[in-house]
Amino acid sequence: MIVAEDVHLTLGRQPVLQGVSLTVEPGRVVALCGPNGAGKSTLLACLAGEHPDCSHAIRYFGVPVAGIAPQIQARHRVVLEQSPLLSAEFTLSELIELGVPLEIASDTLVTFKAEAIAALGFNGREHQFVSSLSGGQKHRAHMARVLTLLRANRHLGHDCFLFLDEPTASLDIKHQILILKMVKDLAEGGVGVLVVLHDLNLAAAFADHVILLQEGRIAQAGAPQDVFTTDTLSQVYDTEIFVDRTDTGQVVIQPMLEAS
Amino acid sequence: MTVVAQRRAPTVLGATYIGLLAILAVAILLALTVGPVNLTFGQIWASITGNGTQVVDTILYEIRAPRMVLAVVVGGSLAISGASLQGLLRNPLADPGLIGITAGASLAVVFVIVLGDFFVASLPSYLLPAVHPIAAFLGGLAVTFIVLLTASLGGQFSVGRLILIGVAITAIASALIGIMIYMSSDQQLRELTFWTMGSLAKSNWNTVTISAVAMIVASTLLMRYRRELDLLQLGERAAFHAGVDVARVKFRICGLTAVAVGAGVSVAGPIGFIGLVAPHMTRLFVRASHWVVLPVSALVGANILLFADLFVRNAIPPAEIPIGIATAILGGPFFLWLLLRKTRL
Repeated sequence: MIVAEDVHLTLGRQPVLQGVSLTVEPGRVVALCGPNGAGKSTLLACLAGEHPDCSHAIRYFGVPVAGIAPQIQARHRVVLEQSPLLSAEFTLSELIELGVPLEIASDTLVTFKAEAIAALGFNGREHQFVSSLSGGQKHRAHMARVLTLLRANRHLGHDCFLFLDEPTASLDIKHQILILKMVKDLAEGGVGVLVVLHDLNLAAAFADHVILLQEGRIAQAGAPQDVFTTDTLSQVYDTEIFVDRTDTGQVVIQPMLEAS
Repeated sequence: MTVVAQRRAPTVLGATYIGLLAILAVAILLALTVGPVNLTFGQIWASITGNGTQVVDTILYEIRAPRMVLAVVVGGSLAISGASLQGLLRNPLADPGLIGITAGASLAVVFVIVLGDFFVASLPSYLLPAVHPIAAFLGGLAVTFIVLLTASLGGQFSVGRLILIGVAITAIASALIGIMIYMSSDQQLRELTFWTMGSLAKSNWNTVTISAVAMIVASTLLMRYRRELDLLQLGERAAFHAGVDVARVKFRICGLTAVAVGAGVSVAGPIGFIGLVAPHMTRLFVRASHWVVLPVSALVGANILLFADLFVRNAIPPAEIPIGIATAILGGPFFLWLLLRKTRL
C-alpha cells in the first residue's frame, strides 16, 4: 500500500501542495483530477519519491520513501511520465527492455515483451526505431515499456504499483479506451493504480476513486458519481459544467457551451 | 518467485568484436614492425624467444612496445570516456574536454613550464621526468572537481548547468593559460606548444605502466555503468523511476572520466577528437545501447590512435607530426560533417 499523509510542498516560493493525504491500494484505480496547476503531476511525482522535501510524508508499505534506496523504490512502483523522453536511437524492442531487472529469465522477458507489443498494437514493428514513431505512438511505446516493467516486477514477487501521468492525453479515442481498459484489467488483477486524468468522462468511467485537486488541496474525494456533481465541478473548474447520467448509469460530464 | 537464470545482458554479434580485434592485431604488428628501422616478423620472433640482437631488443621493448601499449590504452579509454559522457549528458557532441579536464591539465603543465623553475629544481632528479605528467593529472582532476562541485551547488546537478559551468570554468582556465603564455620565454612557449599538441613519443615503461593502470581501472569501472547510461536516455526522472541513483551515478561517471582522461593527458598530452569520433563511428555500425557502444568504441578508439600514431611516425621521417594534429585533421572534418548532418534532421 502506498500512502501519502499530509503532504506539503513548496517549489520556489509557490506552495504547490498544502496538506494532501491519499492512499493507493492494490486492486483499485485512483484518479487525480483538477484544473491546470492544481498540483496533480507534482503529487504524482511526490508519491514516486522524486521530491526529497516530502519524502518523509510518503510511505511504501509503512516505510517512509526517504529511507528506501532508488533501486528498491523501483520495484514497488513504475511510472509513465506525461512527456516521456528518449535521447538515443533505440528500437521499440530495445526501449521496452530498458530497466527490466536482470533476474528475469530471457524467455519470460520475451513473452512479456511480445504481449506488451501486441497489447499496444505494435505487432511486427518491434525493430522499428522509436524516433520514427509519431507522438501518440511514442507514448504508447513507453506505455509498453512501463507495462513490461510492471509485469517483470510482479513476476519477481514484488508488490508493484502503476503511476500514470495523463496516459491518454496524446492518444486517439480508440487508444484512450484501450489503455484505460488495460489499466482497469491490471487493477482487477491486483495492481494499485494512480492515474492523472484530464478527461473527466474517462475518469468517471474507469476510476474506483477520484481525487479532485484545487490549488494544492483536495477539494473532493470519493467515488466518481459522488465527486462529479454539477455544483462541485462548476466550482472547482470555475466554468459551468453539467453532469448528466445515461440510462445505463454512465456519468456524462459536459461544459455548457450554448451562448447565453 | 521463479527466477530461472540470470539473463545475459544484450550484446552484439561476435563478428563485430572479431573484426575489430583482427584489425587491432594488424595495427599492433604494424606498430611494432614499421618505423625508421623496419623489423621483420622473424626478428621479432627471435627477440620474443630470447635470441634477438641487442639493437632489435632495444627498439622493440624500450621504444615501440611501450608506445604501442600507450596508444591502445589511451585510445581505448578516451573512447570509453567520450561514450560515457555523451550518454550521461545525453548530448552526442559531448567530449571529455567539456568538463574541464583538458583545460585543467594544460593549465597545470603551463604553470610548471613557466613558473616551475623554482620548485622543480628542488625536486629529486628521478622525479623530473614525471613532473609534467603528475601536474597534468592533478590539474585535470582539480579543475574537473571544481566544475562538478560548482555544478552541484544549490542542490540541483542538472546537465545544462554542468555544461555551462564547464564552459565558464574552462574559459577562466584558458585566460590563466593566456596570462602564463604572455609571461613565458620563447623556449618555454615552444615547449608548451608542443605539449598541447599531444605526443606518444615520450613513452617509457615507467610512465606508461602507471598511467595505463589508472586508465584501465577507470575505464573498467565506467563499463559497470552501462545499464544506468541506457536508462539515462529516458531522461533523469525516468532513470530515477527505474531505480538509478541519478546524482551519485553522474558524479561517479564524471569522476571516473576525469581519472581516465587525466591519466591519458598526463603522458600523451591532450589528444582531441578520439573521445568524440570513436563513439560516433561505433554508433554508425552497431546498436545504440551502451552495452555495445562502450566496449566497441574502446576497440575503435584503440585502432584509430594506433593507426594515427603509425601515420605520424612514418609520414615524413625522421620528423614526427604531433599526434594531436593528426587526430584533429581526421576528427575535425568528421565533427563538421556530424554537425551539418544534425542540423538537417
